[in-house]
Amino acid sequence: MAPRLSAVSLAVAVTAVLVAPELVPTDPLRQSLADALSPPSLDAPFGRDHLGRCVATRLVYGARLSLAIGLGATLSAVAIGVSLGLASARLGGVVDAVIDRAIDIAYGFPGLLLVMVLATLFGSGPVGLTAALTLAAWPDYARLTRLLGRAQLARAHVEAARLMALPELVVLYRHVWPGLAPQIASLASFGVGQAILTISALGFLGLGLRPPTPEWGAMVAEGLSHWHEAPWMLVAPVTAIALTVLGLQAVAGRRRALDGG
Amino acid sequence: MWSAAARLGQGLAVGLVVALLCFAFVETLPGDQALRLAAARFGEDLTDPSRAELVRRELGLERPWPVRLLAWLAALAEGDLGRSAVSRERVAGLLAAYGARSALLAAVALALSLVFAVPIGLLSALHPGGVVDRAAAAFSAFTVSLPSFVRALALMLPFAVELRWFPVAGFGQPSHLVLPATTVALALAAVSSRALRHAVVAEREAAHQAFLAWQGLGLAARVLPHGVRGVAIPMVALLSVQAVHVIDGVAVVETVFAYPGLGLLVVRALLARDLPVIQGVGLVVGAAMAAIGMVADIATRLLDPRQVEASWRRA
Amino acid sequence: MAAEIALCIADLSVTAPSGERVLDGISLCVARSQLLVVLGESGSGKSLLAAVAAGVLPEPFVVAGTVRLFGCDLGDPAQARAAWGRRVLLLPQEPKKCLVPTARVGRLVAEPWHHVRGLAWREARVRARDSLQRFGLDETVPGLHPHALSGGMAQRVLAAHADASPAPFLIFDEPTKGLDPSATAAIAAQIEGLLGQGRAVLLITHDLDLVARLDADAVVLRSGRLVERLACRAFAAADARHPYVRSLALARPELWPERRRYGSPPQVLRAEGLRVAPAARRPLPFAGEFTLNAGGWLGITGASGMGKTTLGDTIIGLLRPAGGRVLWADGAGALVDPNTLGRRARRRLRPKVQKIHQDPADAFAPWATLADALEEVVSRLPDPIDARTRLERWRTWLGISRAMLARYPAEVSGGELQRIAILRALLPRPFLLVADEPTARLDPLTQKETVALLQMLSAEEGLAVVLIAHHRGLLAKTCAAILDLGVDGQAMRGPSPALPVVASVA
Repeated sequence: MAPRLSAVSLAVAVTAVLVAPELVPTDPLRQSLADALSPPSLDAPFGRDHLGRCVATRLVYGARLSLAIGLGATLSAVAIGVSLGLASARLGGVVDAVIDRAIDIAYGFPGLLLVMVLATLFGSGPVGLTAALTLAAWPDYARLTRLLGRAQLARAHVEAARLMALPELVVLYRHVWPGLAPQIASLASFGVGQAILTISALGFLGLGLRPPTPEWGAMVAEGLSHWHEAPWMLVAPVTAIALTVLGLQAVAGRRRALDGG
Repeated sequence: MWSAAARLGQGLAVGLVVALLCFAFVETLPGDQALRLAAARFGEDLTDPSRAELVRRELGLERPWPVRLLAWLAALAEGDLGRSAVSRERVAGLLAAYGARSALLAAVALALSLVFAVPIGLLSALHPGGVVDRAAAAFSAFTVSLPSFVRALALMLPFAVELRWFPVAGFGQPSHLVLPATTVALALAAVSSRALRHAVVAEREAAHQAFLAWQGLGLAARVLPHGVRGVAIPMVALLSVQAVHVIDGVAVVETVFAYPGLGLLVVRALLARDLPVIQGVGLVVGAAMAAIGMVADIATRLLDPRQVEASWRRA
Repeated sequence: MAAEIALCIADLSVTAPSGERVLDGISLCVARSQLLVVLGESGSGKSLLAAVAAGVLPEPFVVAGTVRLFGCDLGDPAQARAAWGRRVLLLPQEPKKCLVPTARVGRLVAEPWHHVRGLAWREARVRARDSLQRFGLDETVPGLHPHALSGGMAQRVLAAHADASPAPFLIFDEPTKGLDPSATAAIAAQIEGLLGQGRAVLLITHDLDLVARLDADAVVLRSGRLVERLACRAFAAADARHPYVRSLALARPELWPERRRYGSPPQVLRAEGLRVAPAARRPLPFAGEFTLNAGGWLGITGASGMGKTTLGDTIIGLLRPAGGRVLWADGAGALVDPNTLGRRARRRLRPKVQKIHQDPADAFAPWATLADALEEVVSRLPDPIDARTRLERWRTWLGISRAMLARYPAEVSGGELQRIAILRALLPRPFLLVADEPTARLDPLTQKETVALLQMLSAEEGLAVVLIAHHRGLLAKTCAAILDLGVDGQAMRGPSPALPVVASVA
């Protein structure tokens, strides 16, 4: 139930964000210094920032970009992680030992810090960020796939399928993968959300997407320096982030680390 | 012990990999390294080709990269971590000074997290599924998912900026530690309170606890020698996970509160492309994670006789 | 002289929170030095009865009727709790799960001596050690942790707990679950010892062999009701009044009519100097020579860990022999070593040797319907149209409805799943079927039925069967020859010379 719900919400979010330009005709980069720091009004629902740009528009466009990067990174991480995990579980022996050790080494470094370093190295454009996030996330999928894959491969129906001389790839696709898919989908939909939040953390620190590209974290940083004159500059992106977090909680079900229920 | 050595090896391997990655990619970045470093050192406006040339000669950036890499590795083998490309201070010294302050912050945060987590966890475990339990679960889930900078701001704006109960930034007084430590502690407690609740409930409902009761053993005989240990095992395993949260959190939190720790150091180094400092921090963090993992391993091994295989492969 | 009554249950009814009545109108009594057996299949309510008798029934169940233990009313929670460990002790199923995993066995057995009987720790430990020795466990055991114990050892540790407890009324809940049949004798002896101390014992079980072996009275539980009370000896002889009890008694292989399957030429299987090794480990200490004709049955038995499954897997080609070879019928009248064949030839021959697994629920992918699982096989056979005809014929023959096939594995019972597994295995027209403990997870009545079906199929299709089972009685009734791989304890005595195992099925 939970994975299906998260897949649907994801689809809805993706569509909504892709359709954004039609719904929000304003240009997120258009400055209007005369209107700088003006409070919320009819044509700027969340007010304008220090360069006169419409905050609401920037929120929507920021979501777009972060979502695209988050999706791209998660899909790449899943592709890499699942392939390595399956190879490790199926082939065993040296391959398994090497991949297992690689996963352990990858886990030896805290995620956010790693993304920060990689983002700096790869450059902070969308491509660089995607690469950084992918490299930080693949071990999660590899480890889960390896663990679940080994359990699945030990099951009797896999053996029965092999005894019927089913080709190995068919066995993997029909008898192993369906046992893994729900959990991986669940982890992936959560991963997309986490990626978006990580992008905002980097944006806040100035290590992520460069101005004038709209990005929530960067907007929070800008809003902080204008807190007294224009509090809406800070409140809007923070609310957006908080709502995203709440949405993630509702969608991806309760995280196992927090609630076995 | 084989796994202790393996852990150490893993930590060093991680640090080295990070450091080498840094080295490799800074090399491949477009643009002139010397120019960037000069800009960081002297300021954007005051930089010109002659200053860049000064930096280049000083850091030996005209040598081919294999030579520089070997030089760095050789120095590392001697314990010399080099000097910051921006400030020319010894990296080892920087790491020690900033690292000590981060360690202080981490320790205070950890202690504070226990103060939050233990009562909440135990209360939640008292009535699983009850109001307290569900409220705690929702609050924990929300808090830990919120990015650390949002959490930091949520504490900073009301308590430091508006109410002025605590300083906004800096270091020197105990009051400087309160807000940053609380920010990190909230995330730690969110996870550990839930883990404690689950551990207590699992132990209470375990078949072996029921059998002990059926034998006529009283509460003290069931809880003290057996129950406590049963709860401690998953909590100790949590240690490594919490270490990740601490380190991740520290980087952002220190930046928000301008607390001069390793997090602030590494963020500034990243912005300035200060390679030696980045590499140094990478090594230290990798080693620290490995050390914590080793402590968790040893503790688990002492507590839990079922752990036959190398427990660092946690499921 | 009448012994003191320990437990007396009168007109007991228990209703589950769901409203279902799980026990109805139960009345029984157990006196000191008396053993009463409660025999029931799964779903009969026997574990709930054990819980009621021990005073540990969880809150939401509603109890009507009286349960008196040495005069105390177990229906009163306070009195029940006071009785725990002092007047009654329940020894649960699956002992390994009930022992604190982080503590050593010696300490665990000493605890009742110290906390309940009031002895000093030092003396408690001494008594614990003696008690463990009395049950056949050596000096190393007190220092072990529960996970290091074998099933049989854990059961003995539990008996030592009974020894340590002052409770004069003991309840054994399924003491032979998951154990080799050879453990049955040990358990009977444990109970004898405890009876000798003047205690009363209530034994709850579905193990027919254990019941047949005991010298006591038994009551049979079915769907929450007591259907008959008879002596264990009578049960052993199938001398019962109630038809259900009689069919249950006849479900013991010892009472089956003998129907050994000898088969007839041609030979379909031969092993020469066969040595086997489990994956990536050292070879097991035996070398086998045996042959099997079409339609013949070969039995493989031995205690746990002796290599039955490994031998079965080697015969079926899942494992490579560590030495010697296995030869299969190639379909053209000759015998061939499948490991010497080319890839295509091997692929063609592969489905001709099939396996029936011990756990039928594990043998089907949970996300596909049973019809899909069968279709997956049929669509890949060289003769799908013929295969579908065969499928129809056997399906009706095995009593599998179309509606059943439309379901998912979780919605079907174990016995039905095993029949569908047999159906699936037959589709490629194999000449050999290796059945690895095919009835271990089934109820005794379903066991008998399944084996009978297999025998009839084997006769009809000329299918040779290698049957792997713990139960020597079962093999004696069905197999023409039996390979016995050894008794519990032999492998633990270190490397031994290869034991030649010879059998030939004419």
